[in-house]
Amino acid sequence: MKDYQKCIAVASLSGGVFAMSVLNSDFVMMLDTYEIISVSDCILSFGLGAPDLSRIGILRLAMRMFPLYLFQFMFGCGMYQHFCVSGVYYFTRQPARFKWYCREILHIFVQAALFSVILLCAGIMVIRIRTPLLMDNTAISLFILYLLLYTLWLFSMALVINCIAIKLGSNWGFLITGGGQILALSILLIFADKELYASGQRMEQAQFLINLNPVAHLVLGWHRGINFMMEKSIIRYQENTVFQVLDFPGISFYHSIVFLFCVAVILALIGNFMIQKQEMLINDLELGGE
Amino acid sequence: MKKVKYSIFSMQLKSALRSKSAMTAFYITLVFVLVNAAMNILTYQSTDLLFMKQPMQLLLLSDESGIPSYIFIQLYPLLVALPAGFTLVNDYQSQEMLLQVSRSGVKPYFRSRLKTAFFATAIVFMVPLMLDILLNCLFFPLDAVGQVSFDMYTPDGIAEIRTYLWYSLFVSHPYLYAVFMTVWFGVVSGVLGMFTIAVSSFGFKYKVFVFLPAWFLLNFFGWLKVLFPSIPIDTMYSLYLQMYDAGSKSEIAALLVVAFMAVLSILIMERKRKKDVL
Repeated sequence: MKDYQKCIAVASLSGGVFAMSVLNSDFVMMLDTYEIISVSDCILSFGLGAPDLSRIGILRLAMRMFPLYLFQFMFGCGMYQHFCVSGVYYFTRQPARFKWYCREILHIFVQAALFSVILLCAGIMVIRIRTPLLMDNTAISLFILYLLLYTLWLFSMALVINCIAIKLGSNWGFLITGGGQILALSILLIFADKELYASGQRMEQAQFLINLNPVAHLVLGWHRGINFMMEKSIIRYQENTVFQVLDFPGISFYHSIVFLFCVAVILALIGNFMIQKQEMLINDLELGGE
Repeated sequence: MKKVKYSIFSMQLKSALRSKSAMTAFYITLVFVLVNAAMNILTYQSTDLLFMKQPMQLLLLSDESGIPSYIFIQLYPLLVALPAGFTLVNDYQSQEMLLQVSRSGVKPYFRSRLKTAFFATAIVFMVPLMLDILLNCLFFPLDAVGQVSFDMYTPDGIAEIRTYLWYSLFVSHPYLYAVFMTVWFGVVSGVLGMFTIAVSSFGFKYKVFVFLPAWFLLNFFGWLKVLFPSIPIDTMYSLYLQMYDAGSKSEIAALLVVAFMAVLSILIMERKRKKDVL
């Protein structure tokens, strides 16, 4: 229960701060032209916006990932903490580790879902204090997509940190996972070169590589809407927040969900395999053996 | 009888530099330096001398350089805790602290821990980056003119050069400027290492929290300008650590923040020292 309280507190705090930054950056231009913001604009902004592939755009994207890193940081070693105790006491009485593992990953999943919902809701509330909001048709479906993508992503990252922590110690878990995400994000800069866009073949390659990049799937503004209304609201958002709209067909939402779901399932299976094999924690794991 | 010389500082520095995490940070920086140099060689091979950038602008710390420099500065908040951040936590957890304190006394122990954090972090980052300067002097023509993106002698070009951190040194000695900025990078890293050590003296149960102080602080400065656009200067940390960046920066503010962090970490350590070690 204490974990959930901490989760709610961190999520609402970072959601409020995020909302303030969004009001100062994305919505300045939008408020000038439309004078009213819809809820789906808020969700798109919280879904990392629609950055262009330039250094500034990617830097902005990296900064917007901060609440996600914060979640991984705070809740990335929950299962590891429990394993420290279970490895000594619980597993001697209860040989069915699979049951324990299922309970633990369910715990992480609920935390991830709670965090993404509270982050968004707190943010929308803070935005509502400053300006009136318009509830539009696409908000509900965008909200569900946001929830699915972000829960799956936070869940898989927290799971990876836990698994690496059990093997190597909690510091390496965060270092490897956080570093990996920063790398995946910065690799997108390869496409920042304008010459790459010139020929159609390069464009196809760029599209292929963006589809493979797990972090790119989190950017809601780069997606193609699942229906006409959503398409329209995404395009409206892109035109009003970025100076240069990315000219590629966009990632399909179905593709993103299937991709992140597969990643989560594969990681959960690997984690299960690891938990079954791992006997007990090495005693001086945290000391680094230096 | 011969007196046994025992220097706690040199012992701690040696063990910190030999640790696994310091080695990791060193090799990561070195790999970035080499990849950056290789990519620049591939990019600029058979370029006319007239269009060639000055070698110092292709350093890893330069804003004009390629993608590796960008990734390095993005990873920096995580890397900076690695060289010395875990030393104090390790000493607490392995009870080695008692041995060292009983041998040298509480005051020298904590003081040399801070010194170790500063020098170990600075050395780990400065050695590969100094190597970068040497490599670039070897790889690229030294008589290359400089910026390609703008004309240096137009009013716009002069205005851009004036936004560089400590631009007067750049104008008179461009190569010395690169060395100076590398030392500045090392000093800032060292102070961040000190800060990490000082905050970790509150005692963390899990080592992952050692990353928190430096990582949170640097990201906080990044967010500051976005949250309060009325601040007249840029606060993003990368602008102050990279060379040749054209943002509106304030040297005094940077110096003040670094000095404040150093003083704060010394004060925290002094307070910690007065408490019982057990």
